[in-house]
Amino acid sequence: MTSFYHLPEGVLEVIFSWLPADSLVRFKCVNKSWYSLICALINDPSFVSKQLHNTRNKSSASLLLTRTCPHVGHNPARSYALLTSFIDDGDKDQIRSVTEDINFPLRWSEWLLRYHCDGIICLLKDKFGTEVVLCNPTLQEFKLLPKSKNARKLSCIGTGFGYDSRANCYKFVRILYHAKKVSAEVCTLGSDYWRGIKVSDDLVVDLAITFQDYIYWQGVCYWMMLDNSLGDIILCFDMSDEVFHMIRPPKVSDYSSFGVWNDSFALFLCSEERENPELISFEMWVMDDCLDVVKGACPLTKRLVFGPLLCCPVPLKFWKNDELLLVSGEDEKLLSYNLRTQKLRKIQADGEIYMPFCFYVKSLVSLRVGERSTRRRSKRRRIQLLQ
Amino acid sequence: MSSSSTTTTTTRLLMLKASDGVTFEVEEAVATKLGAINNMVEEEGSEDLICLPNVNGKFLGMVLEWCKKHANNNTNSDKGNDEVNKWWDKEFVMDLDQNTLYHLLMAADYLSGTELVDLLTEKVASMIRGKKVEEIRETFKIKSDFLPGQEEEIRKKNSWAFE
Repeated sequence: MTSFYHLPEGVLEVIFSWLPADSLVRFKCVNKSWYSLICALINDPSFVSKQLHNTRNKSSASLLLTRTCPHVGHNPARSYALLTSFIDDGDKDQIRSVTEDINFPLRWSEWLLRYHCDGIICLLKDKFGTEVVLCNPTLQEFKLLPKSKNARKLSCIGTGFGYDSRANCYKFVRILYHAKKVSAEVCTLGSDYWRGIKVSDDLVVDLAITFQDYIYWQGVCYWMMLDNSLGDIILCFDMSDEVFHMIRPPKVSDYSSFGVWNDSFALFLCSEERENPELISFEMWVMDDCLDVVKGACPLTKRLVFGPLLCCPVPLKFWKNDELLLVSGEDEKLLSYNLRTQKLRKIQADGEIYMPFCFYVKSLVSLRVGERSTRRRSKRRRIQLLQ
Repeated sequence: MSSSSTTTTTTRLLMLKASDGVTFEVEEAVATKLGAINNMVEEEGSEDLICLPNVNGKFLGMVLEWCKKHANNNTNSDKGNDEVNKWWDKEFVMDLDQNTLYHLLMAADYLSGTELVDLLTEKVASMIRGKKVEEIRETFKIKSDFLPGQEEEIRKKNSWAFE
């Protein structure tokens, strides 16, 4: 009987492009020819982006969160976990979930886990981004970004991390604020310096509270901030153009959150019911157009109204057509709301899960940009060693 | 075995001959979903009989069934079509055993049916994703050819090496 063993390398390569990054890394151990092929593919940027594209569309959940496991001894062990899928078996009160542990090389208490883009996780020493570590747990790589010279001089009101599709690189951005003027600096992965960004003179804001919510979605970073005279404002930064935009939310709400709907940026506006302030009703506004198409007019369209719900949940993202993932405002636990049945259900997992940080996809995107030559050398050495 | 596709008179028909002599009469628009046949048609032009010595009739038949479905669905351009195609593809690969999957994949690759290769490789990937190394060796009938200690070294390299 014939078997997959005889498949040509080209076909094997296409099969591999559909596999999750961690499976591929593990499959290096299958035999010598798989080892060589997988090592070569991981170093091939076009394969890495094809694999990312294929697997990103497959995984619906993959939420990075904190988990407390009831452990032996007095202190429950706290760890990072990845929620990989939801199992909805029709239960009225809960949805089961599958989680797995995820390890970081840094001590948990010292760093804030803040951002994610294409499998790269961004950890900050403090919220001003004075020290930033990027990390790809699948490839077990990490990289410390250089310290900014402005770290102490100017106040940093927001940070973000994302991908510039035009220049094909990852960027970390710090927004600086001085005398009602916004400025910014960017550090590109692979370069070891911070570069100042020229900001349009029109961008004058009077910030009262900075950084209430943040999301990176499809090349744009969004920050929710509170301005003394304008109220809530959304500051956007296009990673490719390196241009800031300001959007006013379409109406005033008690609180708001950023999310994703149908592959578009979504703003959830959450308001207390007049008769009963414990009940919250929701409106979802979606960015239909590209950011730069719009001048002046609000680029958001109202798509959905739902609720009311108890306990101030914060909407995150739809994990299925009708199912919206939310975080409880009371205990930071995960909930799922069905728009059709209007039922709110708990997400259950092994141990206690809470505090979701971001959505996450495992990738083979290497942090060692610009170190390729040394990598190739060491790879060749390793292959020689195996022969 | 021959296909029944003679609705329009303007469509050119091609004759495809498999390795075991089985022939298929197919519309040009269907057969050219396969890159290899498209090239042959463009190069040779007038030739109506195409011999495919590397593909068995059984699997060529299945490949052409897929082509026919996708060629038909591509001609109507209504919105639900993508969904119909997806659903049909799902059914197509659902119950394939490993042997059939292997031969179909080899046929699709040989005939440069890129979309079909994508569909079938994704199916293979779904069978092996998340599995242990030992299970992969079993599925693919692969024996480890590492020297003692080498496999251990690779495994170790894949765990955090943080100083």
